[in-house]
Amino acid sequence: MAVVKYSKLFPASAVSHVDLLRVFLRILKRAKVKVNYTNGYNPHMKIYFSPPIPAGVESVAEYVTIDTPDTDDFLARFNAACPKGIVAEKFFDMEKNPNLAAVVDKAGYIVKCPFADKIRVDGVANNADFEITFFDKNNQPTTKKVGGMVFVAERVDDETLRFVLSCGNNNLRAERLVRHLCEKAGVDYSLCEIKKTEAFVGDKTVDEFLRELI
Amino acid sequence: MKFIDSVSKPARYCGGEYGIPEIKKDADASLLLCFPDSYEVGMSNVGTRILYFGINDIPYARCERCYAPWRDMGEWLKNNNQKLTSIETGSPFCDFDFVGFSLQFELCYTTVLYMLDLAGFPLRAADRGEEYPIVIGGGPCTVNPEPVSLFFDAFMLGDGETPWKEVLRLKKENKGLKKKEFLKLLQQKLDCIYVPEFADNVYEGDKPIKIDFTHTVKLNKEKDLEKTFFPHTALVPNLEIVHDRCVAELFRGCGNGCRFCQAGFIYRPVRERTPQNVLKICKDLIETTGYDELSLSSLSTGDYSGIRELMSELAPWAKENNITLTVPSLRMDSFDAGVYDSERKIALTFAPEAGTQRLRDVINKNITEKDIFDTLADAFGKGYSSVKLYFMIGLPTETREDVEGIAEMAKKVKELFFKCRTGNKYLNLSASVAVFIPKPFTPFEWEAFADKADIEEKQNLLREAFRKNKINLSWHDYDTSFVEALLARGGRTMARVIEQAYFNGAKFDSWSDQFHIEYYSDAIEKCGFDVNSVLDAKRYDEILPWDFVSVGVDKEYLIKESKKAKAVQTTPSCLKTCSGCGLIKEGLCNGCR
Repeated sequence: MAVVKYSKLFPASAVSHVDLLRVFLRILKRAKVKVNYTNGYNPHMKIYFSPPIPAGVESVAEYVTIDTPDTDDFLARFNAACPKGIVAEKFFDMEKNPNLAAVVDKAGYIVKCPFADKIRVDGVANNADFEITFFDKNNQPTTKKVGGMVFVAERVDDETLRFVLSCGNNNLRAERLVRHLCEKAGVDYSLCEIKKTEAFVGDKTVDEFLRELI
Repeated sequence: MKFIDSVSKPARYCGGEYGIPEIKKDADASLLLCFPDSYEVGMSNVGTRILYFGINDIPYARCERCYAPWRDMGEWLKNNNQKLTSIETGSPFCDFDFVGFSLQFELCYTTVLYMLDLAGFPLRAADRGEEYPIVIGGGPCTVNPEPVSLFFDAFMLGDGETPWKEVLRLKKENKGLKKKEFLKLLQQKLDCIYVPEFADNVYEGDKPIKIDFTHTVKLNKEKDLEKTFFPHTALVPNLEIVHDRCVAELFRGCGNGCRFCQAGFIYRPVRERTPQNVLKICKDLIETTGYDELSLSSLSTGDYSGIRELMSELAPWAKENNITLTVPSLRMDSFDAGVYDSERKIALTFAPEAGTQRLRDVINKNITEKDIFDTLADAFGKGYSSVKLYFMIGLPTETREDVEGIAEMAKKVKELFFKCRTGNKYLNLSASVAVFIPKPFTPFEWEAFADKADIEEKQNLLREAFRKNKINLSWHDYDTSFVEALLARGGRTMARVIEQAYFNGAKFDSWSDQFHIEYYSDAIEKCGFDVNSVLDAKRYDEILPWDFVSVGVDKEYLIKESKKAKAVQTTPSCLKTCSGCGLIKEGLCNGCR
């Protein structure tokens, strides 16, 4: 099992999770990585992703697990076959599938905004009553209690905020929270750049979690 | 507001596809290749794939792409005062020497205007000064460029590989020339270039009464495909496109001479690649793209003389490498289930086109009922269970009996399946019925386009019969075909209607959910356009708007074929015997092989 930590930056950040699988299948084919296939009428490569991020958000902390014995010189081969914006950063050779989709439960985000000093982040984290209003898929305004889903909300400096939010099955989308906070502060959300920088399993980063498993 | 958060499928507009060649920002000559449809459709087009890689291969040339932004992105651009730009470097249209539009189907014309508009260009060529690049149209629709002639500075007719190279070289060597002088130079040097501004075509009402023959425009045909550039790689999109697979082109042209088929006449003669060359292209495409599906493309793949040789090597290689082969455009007289046999049974699509032998002879489809049922019996016996049949209604001389024949044939196919099937498979049978459009440069160019009541009556008849037999039926709606017929057959005066339809809101007209006939009916009324002058039957001696174009096939030959159609006489494939269409005279063909 090869677990690859990769970045998903512009323009690849625009690729939706549904399309990402196809993109990875083709990377692996081009890189000539011998991946194990499922059995059956319509065999497909065995690859497994960590929880998805929404199209448009950049990340430097994505993971994919690839069922392959073919791990020689993996990162170089993989990166040579990637489209612009996808860069494999780390490689973990694992005994078995760590099932990151199920165990990753938090994600850390850095938000760059010229008016970060105007955005109020106190009382957001670990506040059971905290609510956000956002537009749902059908463009309807919706209010949702997200108190238990914000673990860290802090100002790093006058232009930078940092959040750690729940992800996976109980997901809070960073751009919904940031847009809500911007609107409250009367700040133009379109000036904010959100980047996912960390992923966690409980209190450990995914990297630490994987290293302990090896 | 960032567009990436505001529009559907933002990856359409972000580029970064794997396989983008080096874009030479300071190149001496540059082309922005525009496709007037969505990213998913445009990226699937093989012609633009060839030109894109071919031009970027030229040391002094630069080629970038642009697709029509979907409505939501178009609105976003307008609301945010942004202009449409190229995908690769985000450059505005004015940054290029040429803006080329690929005109693959007539219903894309309003989308061309939409793209020009979003790029901040005046729609009419006459209103665009020296600061705007030369806007050139290419692709199959340019055999009758007149309906859109108002919007283009020039058209390039036929295969683009050699002419584009020449146009870009001329640009590099004549940097200082004013637009008009350069267009003159292009027309002088290349006989496949048409500059509408220089043609003095005169109309009375909406009918041409005088055509300017000073420059007969000749459709360019690459004579030797072995020496013609074909990319051994492709861009790999980051989202699913319509034809999401590698495509290797086997040959151009088709010898069958089906009388309704424009491609069959304008792309003659058959020009093949060798099986060795195709095999190399296939393997390189798969290796460089990572695709696991490969399509062998041509107008009639079963007629490829090297099909057995190719498949004997390609099929085992594909199996070993988990590659799915798709073979579109099969004819029922040349399909050999053994050649294409694999463990995965793809859906077969065949086009009998008409329901009775008489009508198939009129349209020169040259397949018999026996061909059809023998082929299907063979396929069903080998385990195929999914078949789609294509037909047309509104064909010349069509009677009620011919239409009933369509339903009858579908019923017989169903019965045949249960006789020949292997195991307990179910049949997945469907039929698609299009409305026939008499297109320029076919023996039917003088025929009338069917009227609405007639087509709807035939569609109702078919719906009822198919419902009774429990077979799926899909059909083309009359209004879309009506507009397509107008756009294909119209002359210069059609441009006002297209422009008005665009102002009314028309774009993406080939998408059934985006097409609204009201945009056009209103435009026709406002312009006082005489629809009948375009759609009615024409006399052989009548001046046709596209008469100044030569596709290599003589008009006398088309008339001869038209008369044979009326006499229900067939003409054999020109791969069997030369039928004297005129291509020999043009030095394009050696006669029958």
